Order: sequence, then C-alpha cells, then structure tokens
Amino acid sequence: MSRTYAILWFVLILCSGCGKSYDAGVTSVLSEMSVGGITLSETNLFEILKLSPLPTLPPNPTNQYADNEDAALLGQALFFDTGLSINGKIACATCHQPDNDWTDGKTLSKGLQLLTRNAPTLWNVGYQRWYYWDGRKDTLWSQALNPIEHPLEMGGSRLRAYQRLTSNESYRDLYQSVFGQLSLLSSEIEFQDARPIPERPEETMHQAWQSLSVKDQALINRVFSNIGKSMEAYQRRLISTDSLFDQFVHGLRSGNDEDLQALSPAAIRGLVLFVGRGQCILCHSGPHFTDNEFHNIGLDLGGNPLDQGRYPAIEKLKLDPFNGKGLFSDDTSLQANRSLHYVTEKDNNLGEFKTPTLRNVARTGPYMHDGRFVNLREVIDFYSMLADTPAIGHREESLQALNLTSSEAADLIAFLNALNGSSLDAGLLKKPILALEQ
Amino acid sequence: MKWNVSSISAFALLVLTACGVGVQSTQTIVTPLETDTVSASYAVSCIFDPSPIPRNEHVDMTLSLKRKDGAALSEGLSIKVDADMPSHGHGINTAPEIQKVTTGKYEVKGLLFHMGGEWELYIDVMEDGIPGRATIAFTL
Repeated sequence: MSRTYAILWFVLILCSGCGKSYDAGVTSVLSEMSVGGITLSETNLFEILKLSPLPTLPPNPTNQYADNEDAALLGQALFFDTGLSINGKIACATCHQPDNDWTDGKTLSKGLQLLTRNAPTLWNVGYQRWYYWDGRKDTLWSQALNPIEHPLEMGGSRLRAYQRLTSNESYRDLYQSVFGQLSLLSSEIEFQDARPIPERPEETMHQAWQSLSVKDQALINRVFSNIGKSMEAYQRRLISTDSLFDQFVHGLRSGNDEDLQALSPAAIRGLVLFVGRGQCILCHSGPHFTDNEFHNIGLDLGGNPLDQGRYPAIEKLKLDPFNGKGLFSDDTSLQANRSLHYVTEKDNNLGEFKTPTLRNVARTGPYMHDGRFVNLREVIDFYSMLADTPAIGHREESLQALNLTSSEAADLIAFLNALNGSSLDAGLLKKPILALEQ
Repeated sequence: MKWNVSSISAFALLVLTACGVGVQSTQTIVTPLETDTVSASYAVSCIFDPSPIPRNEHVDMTLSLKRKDGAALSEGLSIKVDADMPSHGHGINTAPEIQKVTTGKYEVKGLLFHMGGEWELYIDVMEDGIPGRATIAFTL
C-alpha cells in the first residue's frame, strides 16, 4: 500500500511541475482511491491535497518588524493591556480571548458598547489578505490600530497609546530596542486623548489633536503605527495547524496507515461532501480554508440594521493613511501592495463579507459576520436550504440549496471538527511579564 | 457588437499548452476570433506570468492583438480587460491596468482569479469608434 501512495505522490509532483492545475489535466493522472471504505475520486484528491499543509507564514514587507521577537513581546503586552482603552477596562484580548480560541464566544462583540459584528478568531490571522469582515484594512498592523480609537470598542486615542508607551519603563525600553529612540513631545499637554476625527470636528478629541504641533502629530502617528506593528508581530505567532485533517492528508501523501486513520469514516464522508457536491471548496479554498475574498451568501437582515459589507469598505481602505501604501508603511511599492493597488468597487460587492477561515471552526462560534448562527448545524442548515432573501445585493449564484440529509449534515460537522488544530505555548496566551516588571 | 471565441477551443489550447512536455515558464493562448463583421477581425495572444494561471494569486498578462486581414492597427486603438464567472454572478475584484508597449501589444497587470471554476476573460477593443469583445473561457 505504501508503494501505491508513493507513486501517487510522485505523479502529483510531476503534475504540479508541468502545470496540470486544470481539471482535465489533473483527472488524467490522479487515481481514485478508497480510504476507510470511502471512495475519494481523482478530483476529490486534487482538491484535498491543496488544503494541507499550512505553508510557512509569508513575510509582510509593509512591516519590517513583523517577525522581530522584541516587537512581538511588546505587541503581546499591549494586546493584553486594558490601559489603552478610555475606561481602563478593555483590551484587544477582551474580544479575542486566548481561552476562547481568540473569539469572545458572543453573537456580537461588546467593547464600550455593543458592536454590530461578531469577533472573528485570530488563529492564523497573519495569512490573511484583508482584515475585518468587510476588509477595510489591508495590513494586520493597521487593523490593530482601529479598535484602540473606535468609540464603541476601546474609545481611546493615539495620544493615549503614545502616553501609555512612554510612561511605562518596560514598554519604553522594548520599544526603543526595536524602533530606536522614542522622542518626547515638544511641549507639556494636559489632555489624555487626541486623535483626528475630520468628519466630526466638534469632537473634543479632534480639537485636542488640532491643538498639537504638526511635529508632535507626526511623532504620535509614527509611534502609533509602531504599536500596530508590534501587535502584528505578536499576532503572527497565533498559528494553529496539525489538525487531524492535516494528519490525514499527510497520510494520503505518505501512505502511513496510522495517519490515514486520523479521520473517522464520517469525517471522510464529510470531506468528500466539502470538496464535492457541497462545493464548500469554492470559497473555503487553500490551506487556510478561505479564498481571502468576499461573497454575498444571501443572508437576510436577521433583525439587524442593514450592513452593506465590502462595497463601502473599499473606499475607506484606499483612503486610510495607515494602509500599506501610506506614509507609515515600510514598503509602499506596488509589488508589496498589489491587492490594495488593484482592488476596486464592483456592484457585486454589496452585501459581501469575507470568507472566514475554517481552521478551528468548531471552536469559534457563533458564526457569520453578525454571529446569527449558534452552532455549525445551523450554518449547514442555512446552506442546505438557502431560504433567506438577501438583505442587499444578490446572492453568489454558484450557491445552490444542497438539500442535505441529516446524516450528510452530521458528516460535514464531523469533518469540520477535524479541523481543530494545535494550540500554542502557554507563554503566548497571557500578558507577558516584562523584564522590568519581574 | 460581440466577437465570440469558441470556449471549447480556447480551453483546449489552454490544456494542451499546460500539459505539454516539461516545465514551462509561460503559457500562450492563441485565440482566432470570429466576428460578425468583415471590417474588424483580430487574433489575440495572451501570455500569462506566472503560468499556468494560478488560482487566487496575482497574474500578469502580455496581450498581443493583430488584425486577421493583416492590416495595420489604428494608433488610437484602446483595450480594456475584465473577467467574470458567469455561473457565479461576479467577476474579479480588481481593476486591471493596461500599459501599451506598442500598438497591438499590451502589458496587463492586476488580474487575480480568486476562485476555482469557469472563468471568462474579456478583452474589449475600441478601434476607430467600433467596439468589440474577445472572450476567452477557461477553467481554474
């Protein structure tokens, strides 16, 4: 049996090398096989092998500190620091809890007030092309800045973040070891919060920002962006792989019987549905189980205010001073920012939301951008019936009601449970003790 | 006005090229366009980099356009490129940018086919005020 698998894998390597990534080419060289009494077709195998393993995390040239250890340590400390919020009670970890698979387990997140969307998991977040459900951020470091200043989330400001950093000796030392000398503001100030809010110039924080010198504004913006870069360095470490599914795919490649038994027959049947008739693979593609793009799956309002999703986010993304082509990026080249440069609004973007990863999905509910589905069965029932009338725009037309049997739904859930992966070193799951705090 | 390219033949060419012996660095699709007017008829050649066209990665395209009757192309000829998944009701999420190298040769950047499935690549030509479209169908 091992020899058979070895030959299969050799053929796959050849196939990849000569470019047989087209359906017709692939089906001519892969052999149908049976595992656990379940038949995996040639096409099934072609798609399954592309789902694992998770590749090495790609670099982010817009953040030259993305893989800096000290930056990651600083970012970890800041991630758990409630002192960045206006009431001193909210941190990134409030909604992205390490013991909750980096979610809060709630339908809608709650910072200072209830938000309108569900907190997505941070597992493997460094692999993403866009951030937020609507993709209004193109880099992880830029995304990390928004909640700090969002009036419904942490309600703070870039000035508060700057002062938090400079007033803490451990933070300051770490910061300077990574980013160089941390300059002081040119004059004493008596307020804690200042940030630009050009759309609401009457706001106190905006007026405070306007009272600062251009030089001080530039300094604060620079430090603020570096805070985001530190947080990215930390969050890039939140990688989960080595699921039972990964082990199974390794078995397909190696022929190792023990690995092939990693999935139950129900999970294998669910996998065949996932890559086959269910067509889940169309959007949940690649080893991160997402195409990193956006789709309107036709959800109704669900009792929530209308959310236009991706369409209006694209303009925000392009105008964002902290985007990958902006002043604070470490690489503004086209090569480093192709996704941002070429993205454009299309009518079909209305009502689209980002395809979420499915790694650890069984542990990261509730589901959908508004957390409307409590468990995976509800999600599968939705795709099985497609009974909703889209709240806006039009449903991705490749979606067709699957009319799954109860047994098929259970198989899919068994497969999705097999995507639960490894956890992390315990040291990454909590606020670190910095050198000067020991 | 719409020019129709045989999807089947275009796809066959794709597959044939992709499955050729040895590793290829580029992929060429030559699509003899059929047109419903005698006055405008072109042959289009597309070379992709990387090749074969990757799923959900940026790909550049060199586009060559010739008149089938051998006549010279107008200097003012303009090109637009877009792509669609007709069975999905959407296309690419990008706006490709086109740089003219010479009249009839263009560098196209910003293509990203983010899903597997059946795609149609549209090359819209405007020459002497006459619009036309070449459609290349392929499967990722």
